[in-house]
Amino acid sequence: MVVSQGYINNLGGEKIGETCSALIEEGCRAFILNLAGSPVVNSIGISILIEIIEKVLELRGRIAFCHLTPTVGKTFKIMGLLQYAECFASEEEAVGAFAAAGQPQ
Amino acid sequence: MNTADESFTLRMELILGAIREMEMLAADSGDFRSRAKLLLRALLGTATVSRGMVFRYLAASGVLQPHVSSNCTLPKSAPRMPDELVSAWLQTGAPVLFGDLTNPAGAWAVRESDLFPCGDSRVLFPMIAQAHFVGIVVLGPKFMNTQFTREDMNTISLLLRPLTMAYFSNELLRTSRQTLFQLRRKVLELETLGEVGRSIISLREAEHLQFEILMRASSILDASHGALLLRAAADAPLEISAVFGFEQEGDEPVNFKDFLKSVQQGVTERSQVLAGGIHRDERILAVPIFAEERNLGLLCVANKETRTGHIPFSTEDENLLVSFASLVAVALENAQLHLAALEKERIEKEIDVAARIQRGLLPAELPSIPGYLSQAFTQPCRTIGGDFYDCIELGSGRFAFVIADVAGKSIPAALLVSTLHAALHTLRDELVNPSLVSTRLNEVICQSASEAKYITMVLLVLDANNHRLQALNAGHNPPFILGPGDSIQPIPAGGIPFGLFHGMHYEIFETDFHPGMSIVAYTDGVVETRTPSGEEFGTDRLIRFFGQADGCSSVLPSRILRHLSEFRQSSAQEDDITFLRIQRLLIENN
Repeated sequence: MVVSQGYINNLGGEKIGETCSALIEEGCRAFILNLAGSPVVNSIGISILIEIIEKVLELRGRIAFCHLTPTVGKTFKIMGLLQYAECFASEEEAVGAFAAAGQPQ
Repeated sequence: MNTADESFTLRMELILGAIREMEMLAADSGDFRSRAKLLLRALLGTATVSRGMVFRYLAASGVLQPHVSSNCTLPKSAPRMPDELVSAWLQTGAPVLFGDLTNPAGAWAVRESDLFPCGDSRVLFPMIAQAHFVGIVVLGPKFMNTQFTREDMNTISLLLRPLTMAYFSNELLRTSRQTLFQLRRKVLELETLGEVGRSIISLREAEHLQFEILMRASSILDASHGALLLRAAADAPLEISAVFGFEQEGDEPVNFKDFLKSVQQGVTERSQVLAGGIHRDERILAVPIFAEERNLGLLCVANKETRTGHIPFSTEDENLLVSFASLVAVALENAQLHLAALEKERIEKEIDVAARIQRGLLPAELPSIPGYLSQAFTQPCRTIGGDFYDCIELGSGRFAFVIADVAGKSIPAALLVSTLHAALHTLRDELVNPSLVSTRLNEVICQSASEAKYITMVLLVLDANNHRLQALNAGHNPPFILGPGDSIQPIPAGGIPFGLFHGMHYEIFETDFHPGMSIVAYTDGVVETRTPSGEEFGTDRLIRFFGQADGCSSVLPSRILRHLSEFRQSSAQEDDITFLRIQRLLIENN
């Protein structure tokens, strides 16, 4: 579970990227990104999130977002992120879905 | 088959096998860098070359980017490849030896030799696919430092194809992804503008909407920070209404705070932007917010981000921010209109309440007086009027009739009507003495704080037992007495309107009230009713009307209103209309 806070721009996106990379190094392959604290994201942040998604999928992992604001959800849909990453309304739903598939986070 | 033929056959099998494997690897998915490294190693192994590296050509910048290497270190910097060299290589497609200074590529490689640390015997192979220059492969010495033969060059050229196609496909994929990303960004820009527009129409709370517009504009433009400054009034200084991005630690925009401070202070160097111009420098973009030529404020963004740093805002960014600024203007205008509408609704509700209260002050019906018929009616020209009438029973067969006209309209007039009503009922016991009560009423009205200032009033005290009438006219249109017979007698003013001066005394008119006599009192709205050409109804017409009217008619009020309406034709009613009539019947009713 990765919980973000604040503007997902170059700076914010890099922090998420570094966190996810470190978790990948530790062997993590299933990711839930909780964006409740991030109501705004720019295209630099989106490009970083795309890289994270690609990295996880290359490792045959699974990645999902939860608690997206309507604006961010729409942005992700338009930019194509939700074609490759799942979206859940809440952390509980995401955790439940991952647990049902037998994936530790 | 002899040994040489066997070796050749084995070698060809090996090469073909390697090509097949490389093609499968090239078509595989997964991390491209890893695959590229494997492809390079396959090529090096099959060609018995000890070391090599691949440089990817970036067409947009003309730079050769070091990508993967085997058995040597990739250079840190990326050389720029001259365009003429690219063109020449596209034409020949031939590999070049480092030492061959007769070849431009060979000579160039010597000049950039620090970037190719692969030993002495080096060969540069161009990677060309479908007339596109994809990059170069630099090969170090052959195994055991033997010379590259023509067969080696041909073999390497064959092995290079799957490597080249892999890089070409990757570049195509990268470019199409970038193009798709940019297209999607455009869609997002349009969708954002549309969504913000819909939010404005839904009349969301103005401050929240301002912040949301700022936030959306900043993120769409990839700005790290933004600010919205507004003016409280036309020539007022700019004040910060919303800021974005300052809560994030680090990456503070250079000079943005100084810029914001300087526009708030209205310093001379900011006069152009303060006058409604656009400001664009290396890091800051600020556009004015205009609504119908009124300069409402400034929308600013700072620090346009890329993955590697910051770039200046473009003309496209400027156009997009101007679009957001116009949405801010619409939001502000809508908010003001909405507030004005709410205020208007509130005032209308208060006026309705006041009108209800005012109507409640009027008597529901006039008392039934044996031997007399009394009628009264009022029609205000607006929701609240300044006219008033009342009838107060004084006991012993005496009744006080009042008709009054407050100067002014609407709430102030209504308040003064209430004051008069309260005073009349408080001084009820003194109404039998019109001379005394008139002085008291004048004092009350003088002391009232109303803006309306004065009241004209007629007070008629009827002694129905003794058939006597006392009349007070405080500056009002003179009521007139009709009868007996055809006589018409106006009751002149006994003093000035109430409320103008303290300490006034009033003269009282008294008369016997004979059978068949009637007294008519009215407000100026009746006689001043005008035709479209400006002709007034006048007192004479009113007298004639009442002279001809059936005194016992219960529809008299509606008849006179209809008569006035027909006289006025298409003109609107300009003043309140009130009248009062008391008639002594020829035959008494009990």
